[in-house]
Amino acid sequence: MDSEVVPSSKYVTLISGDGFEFIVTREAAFVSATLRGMLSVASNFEEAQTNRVLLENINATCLEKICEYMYYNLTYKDSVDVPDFDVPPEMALELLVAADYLNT
Amino acid sequence: MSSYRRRQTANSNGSDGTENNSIRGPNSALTSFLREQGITAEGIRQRNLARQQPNNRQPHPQPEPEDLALNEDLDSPTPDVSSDSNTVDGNGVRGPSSALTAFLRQQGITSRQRRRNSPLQSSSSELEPREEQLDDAEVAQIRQAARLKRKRLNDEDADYNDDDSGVPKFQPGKIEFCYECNNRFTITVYTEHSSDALGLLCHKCGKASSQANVKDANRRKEVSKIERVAKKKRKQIAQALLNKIDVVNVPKLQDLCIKLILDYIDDVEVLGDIGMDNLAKINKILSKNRVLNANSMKLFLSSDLTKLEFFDCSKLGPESYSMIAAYCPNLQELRLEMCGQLSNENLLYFATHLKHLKHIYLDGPFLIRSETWNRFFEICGDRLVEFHVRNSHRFNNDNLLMLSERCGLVNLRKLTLGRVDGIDDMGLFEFSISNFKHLQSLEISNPLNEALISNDILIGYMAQYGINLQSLILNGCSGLGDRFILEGLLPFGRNLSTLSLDNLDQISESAMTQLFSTWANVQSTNTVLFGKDEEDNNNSQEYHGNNGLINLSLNKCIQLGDTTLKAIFSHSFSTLVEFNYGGNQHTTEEGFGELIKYLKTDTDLRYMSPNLTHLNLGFTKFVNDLLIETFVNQIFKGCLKIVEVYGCNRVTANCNVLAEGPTKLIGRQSDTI
Repeated sequence: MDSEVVPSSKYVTLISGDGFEFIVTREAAFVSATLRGMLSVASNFEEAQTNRVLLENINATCLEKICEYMYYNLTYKDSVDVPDFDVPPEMALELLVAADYLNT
Repeated sequence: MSSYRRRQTANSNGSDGTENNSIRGPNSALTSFLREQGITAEGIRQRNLARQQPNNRQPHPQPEPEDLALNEDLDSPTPDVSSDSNTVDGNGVRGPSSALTAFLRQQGITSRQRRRNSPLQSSSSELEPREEQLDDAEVAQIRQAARLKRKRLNDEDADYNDDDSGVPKFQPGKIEFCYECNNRFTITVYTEHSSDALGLLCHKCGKASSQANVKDANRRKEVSKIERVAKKKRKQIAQALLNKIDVVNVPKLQDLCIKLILDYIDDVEVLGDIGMDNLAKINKILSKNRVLNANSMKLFLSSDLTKLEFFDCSKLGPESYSMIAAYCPNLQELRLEMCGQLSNENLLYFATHLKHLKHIYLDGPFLIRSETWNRFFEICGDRLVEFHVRNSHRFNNDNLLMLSERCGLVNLRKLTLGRVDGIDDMGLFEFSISNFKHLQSLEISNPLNEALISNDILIGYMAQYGINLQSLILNGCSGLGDRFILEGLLPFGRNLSTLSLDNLDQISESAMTQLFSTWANVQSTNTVLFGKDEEDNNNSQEYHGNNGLINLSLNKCIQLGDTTLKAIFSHSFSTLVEFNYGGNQHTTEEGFGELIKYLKTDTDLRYMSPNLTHLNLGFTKFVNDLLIETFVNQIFKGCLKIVEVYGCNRVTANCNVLAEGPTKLIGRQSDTI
């Protein structure tokens, strides 16, 4: 993704601590209250300018799961029959720390 | 089952067949169809018998063995069988019988004869083993029949359709006339049956019919799906309503993880940096599910902790409690509910090792003896700022005295004595309580003897130190009456913001009304006087009104009614946040009408913004739709979150309060899933 000033691009890039980049829609990223704050144009943060968010304390496996959850949340926000979201037990704690940080 | 039925058949052989047949149990459609067609199970069995025993003496030439399970078979009565059975007992229809029974019948031997031949005593008791043998024979036969059936099904439909009932045979290659359009067509493997299974359909009609079937099935599936979703949604809303939360379709990722962690809590070694909120959440869920144990408790301990709360310690043993003191030396606030296993040594260990412990809340410390309590107070002394104890029968007069002298005189600000049955001496109680000089919060609830908490003692205390009190909870002190209200609360309760007088059945409507209207009047006079003449105001020391209550609970003060309610609103209209007025019976329809009129028209109230979020009017007479609508949609619009109306059967489904709106109406009879 070109990191030049694209204030309201449709996609944003999330970068994990170990350097993997995840390109998700802005809408999906806004599921996380923390990311919403970082990326909202009004905030004037660097993240909002570049549409790139570096999440140093979250590794790629975890971030992938979080991206999955964001789209899951987006898809089933208004439906009643929601399928279960699968979280592998071994990653639950790590994911909880990340989810707490991202406020999702 | 089968032996029972056989006995019935045997009996019916002796007497008149028709009479017996007039009484029968419930029949399946298949049974009655078979009866109409004159098919008997016995006939089928005979054919079976004939087939399996080709050398049988009774020649019953059957072209093909047939089976009950094949539908095509059912409507093809074999004339000789039915006539045979008719001749034997004059009874065309019977339940299934064993091969032996059938054989005997053919031989002309009826059960009556058999019984007559057998010795007298064998009538019932000796018959049983014989019938068991019959059962075995029958089971073997059924097994063989099933084996044959499987075999037959495997080598296709050779003997599928030998009927003469008019249903065309399903023989691919044969020319047939369509059941619907009557056109000639050739039967293929794809040919369909008509919807009533009475004929075959040509290719064109068959296709149309199968398409219609598919469409119909799809529509039905869709409808049932919509119904299922709607039902689920209704259930979700009802559940959320009772839990006093909002409906969430997609759970938060944090909650998903917490749920998963809880499933594997025994395998978790350390929770790590998951945030205080999440930690508290896990703690609460563990307690709620009663699974907090020595292992999982350790996850919440850390040396820099200043506040620790466990809401269900029933599974924690003495060594766990010592671990708390050892691992968290900086604790200032400790709350242990249901701590039945807390031992004497533990409490003393807390006292000596938790040097900063100021607030302690213990619920259910049964094992702590009187001497230990005394020792604990001696060690903690002036350190204690809050002491709460509930449900302990060993906490006695002595301990209260020690507490008052060691802690009450110095720093104790908050005291709770709930269901402390050991305190029973009035004199000592009065003396001890007068030592608590700085209390801001006092709770004495559910005393063993209602006479212990008397008007005089509390009026005396209120007169001395009542002015400091911000919170007063006297639930279940039913010895208190109007005198306490008028002489204790009215003059000295000026700083109270929390008042709870649940289950005080002696206080009357007039006294409570007087309390609140006087407070309200003083409030307004003070406001008027404030600008003009402050000296005048200071003169009337008796008339320091209360500035408004925030939490008020008058649950089941059965003499109260709508006049008091009006007085309460006139006094605390804008300050009240939680208000419990359930179970009060002295209300009238007119009274509520007046109340609504007052709330709507009063000029003072118009400029006040209400803050009430929680209102309980459960089990109050004459609470109706109109009253609730006025409260929710007009007077407390926007702020009211929860209204409880359990047991108010005049609040109906017509009450115009949205289930998903800001206000949740809980407890309506009509709100069933």
